[in-house]
This record gives sequence, C-alpha cells and structure tokens, in this order.
Amino acid sequence: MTLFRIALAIHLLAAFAWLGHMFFWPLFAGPVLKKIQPPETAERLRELSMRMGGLGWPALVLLVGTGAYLLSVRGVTLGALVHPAFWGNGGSHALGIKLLLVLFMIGYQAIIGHRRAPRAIYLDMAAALAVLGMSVMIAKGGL
Amino acid sequence: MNAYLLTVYLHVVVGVVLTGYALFWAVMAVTLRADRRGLDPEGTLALIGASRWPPVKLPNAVRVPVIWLGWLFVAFMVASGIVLIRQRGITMAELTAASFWTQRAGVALGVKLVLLVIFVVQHMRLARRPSRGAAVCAALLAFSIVCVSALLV
Repeated sequence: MTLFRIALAIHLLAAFAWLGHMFFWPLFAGPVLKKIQPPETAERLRELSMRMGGLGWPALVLLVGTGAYLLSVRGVTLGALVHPAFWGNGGSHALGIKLLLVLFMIGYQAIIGHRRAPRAIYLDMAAALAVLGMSVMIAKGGL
Repeated sequence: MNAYLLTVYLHVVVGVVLTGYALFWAVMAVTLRADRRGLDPEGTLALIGASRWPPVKLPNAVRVPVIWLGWLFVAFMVASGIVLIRQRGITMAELTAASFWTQRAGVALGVKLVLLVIFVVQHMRLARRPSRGAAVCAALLAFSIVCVSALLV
C-alpha cells in the first residue's frame, strides 16, 4: 500500500467518523433518545450519548493534513491554487467550492461547535453534503 | 452529475450515515457499561434498539425500530454497490473469473465483502441480544470497510 493510499484511508476514515456522527446524532439518535420512557432515562441517555464530543477538531486536523498531501500528489500546491490559470477547468471549480465549504465548516466548528444550534446545524449538514458531492466529482472526474 | 456519479454520491452518503450508526451503538454500549447510575446496559441497549424512528405521530407501520435502520442502510449499500459494479462495466463473467480476484481492485473488493459479511453477523448479534462486544466489533468493522474502500477509489 502506498503512502497515497494510506493518506486516503485516513482522510476517508476521519470524514466518515466525523460526518457520520454529525448526521446520525441529530437526525436519528437524538429524537429517538428524547422519547424514551421514563423521561429520566431519556435525559440520562442523552447525556451519555453526548460524551462522544470533541470529534470535530481532531477530524478536521486529519482532514486538512491528509487533504493537503493528497492534493500535492496530484500536483496541486499552494502556488498552483493562487494561479488564475489553475481555476480554468471543471475539476478545479469543484475543488474551489469544496475548499470554501470546508472553510465554512471550520468557522461553524469554531463559533458554534457543540453548542445547541437547532437551525444552524442543518446549514452545517448541507455544507457537509455538498463537500461530499464535490469530493466525489474530484475523485471521479479528476482535477 | 451523471448516473454513475450520483450512485457513487448516494453510496458515500449512506456509508457515512451507516458509520455514524455503528459509532452510535459503540458509544452507547461503552458509556452505558461505564455508567454507574443503575441503568442496565444490555436492557437499555435493547430499549434503544426497539424504539421507533421517526419518533413523531405517524402510523407504527411507517416507523421503524432503530435496529432496523442498520438493515436498511446495509441493504442500500449492497444494492448501490451492485449498481456501481455494473456501471463500472464489470460483468458477471469477469466476477466469476479467478483472475479478477487476484488484481488489486478484486482483492480489495473481496476483503470489503468479507468484512461486510462479518459486519452483518455482528449486527445480527446486536439485533438479537445487544452487547458491548457486538457494538464495538460492528463499529471497528465499519471503520475497516471505509479503510479498504480507499483501495477502490
């Protein structure tokens, strides 16, 4: 297995764990745990389920680190990103959108993080869905 | 976005949710075991598994027990995985040829399928009698499947 594949595996693992947690907890686990009877058990279970906090920053560090390496293997360096000629093809548009959405998600993580934000969480989820879409386009369509 | 990219996208999104599902069971199983406030770990896991989603005023027939969500996600992953194999132009004749399973993609796909079968067995254990071992195993298997998938990108 090459270093590229190892980095890709770490990138996928960090993304799946973080986004899986981001999607499953608020959409499925939270509403179900809230309705469990008696209410004291429901509250205790919700407390226990929230112990798995703090996944966002470690995942982001891994994603940014491995993401930068994966891009450099494809010949995309910081120098290339600031060159206007780079942004001329479809693949680079997908990368540009992905990077902007990742910046938004980092901002969300820094400002809101694990605080309760019932509406904002859906924006973060929409950004995550779009990041996944752009990632598929980059992986399958190339840069 | 063409049909192939759409299928890959849906496969990835449901894979992400399935990973979250497996992680949820592992977190609940481990934290319930470590909790000293009198909640019976296995009984509480069974209670969570039997709770219906979505928890709103809908007929019971359209609300599924939480443990069934895992089966639905797995079924979607298998179905979309089969569609992806077909969309990649891999025929049944190629799949049954020994040479396919010696290439890198064939080995990765074989390992992924074996891990998936073990995941299904662990999920059956979780559905019948929830335990920390089954939940943690299922989460580790889900993570392993994600890692192996890196060879198929």
